[in-house]
Amino acid sequence: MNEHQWIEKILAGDTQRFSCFVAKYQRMAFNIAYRILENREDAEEAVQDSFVKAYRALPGFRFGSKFSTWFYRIVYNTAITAQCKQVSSADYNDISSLEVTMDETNNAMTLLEKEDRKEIVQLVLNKLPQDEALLLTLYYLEENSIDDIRQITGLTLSNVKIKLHRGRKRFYETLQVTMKHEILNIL
Amino acid sequence: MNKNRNELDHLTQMLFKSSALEPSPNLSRKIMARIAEEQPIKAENRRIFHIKSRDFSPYFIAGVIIYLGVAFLFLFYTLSGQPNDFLPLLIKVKEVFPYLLAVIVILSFSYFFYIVDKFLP
Repeated sequence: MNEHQWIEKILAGDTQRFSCFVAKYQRMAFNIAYRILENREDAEEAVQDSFVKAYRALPGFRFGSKFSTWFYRIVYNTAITAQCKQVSSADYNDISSLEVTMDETNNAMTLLEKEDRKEIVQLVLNKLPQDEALLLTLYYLEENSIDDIRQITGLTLSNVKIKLHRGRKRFYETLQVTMKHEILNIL
Repeated sequence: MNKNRNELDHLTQMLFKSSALEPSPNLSRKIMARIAEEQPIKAENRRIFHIKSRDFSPYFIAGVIIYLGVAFLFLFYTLSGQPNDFLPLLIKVKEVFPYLLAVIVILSFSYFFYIVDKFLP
């Protein structure tokens, strides 16, 4: 059964069918909200609100775009609204000169346990500017196309490309510095 | 350069996929509890219009032209009686044309409003 049929079932009164959408999209929705709100509780609250908004708006969804793109835009807007209520957090500090190479980073990452690796990547993403971290998450985690990201965030196509490029560069720069600290701590 | 870029993309994707955050296990239950509190959404608010495009082949178009041509000639010979005399035919057409036009307009409007009635609530 595809998403179109799920929607038809929900609109015919089978509310429980909505759990299919919840199961499929809650993880990515949570990652998007977390990248914006940087707090688990707030992100989960935003995800709940987003699903309720999506449910209410379902009769108006016309499959003009992918359901995922439409829904992630709701999550993005909900999280941005919630963010306005939050107190602004610490600013991003620029990364200075680097001495660690890409290969070294790659090798070090493979040596680390999965949980440590997860923790480091999240640490690095938390250090990045919020919009760049979000775009990287949308592009690499969910494999959204650049055009999908444009629709979700409302940015222009060239802006998405630039932010992705900058974000990727900054991600590896920050990762290398973080890895260097981790390796020094281990030694 | 492209190879490096592809490798970098692959590495980044691997890092992101292996380090994605997981929401609380009870999040889906919380969401569904909130959905259950919502009023059931009504399907009748949703109308789907399927517009199908029709691609006519050149043979079909040629067939229609020939058919209309034959039909016109048939009418012409039937109404005129005398194939070489156009004037009586034109006079006949001129006499019936306003009535014909009125009937066409009435039928067109009736059909149009019948279709609109079917779609609008």
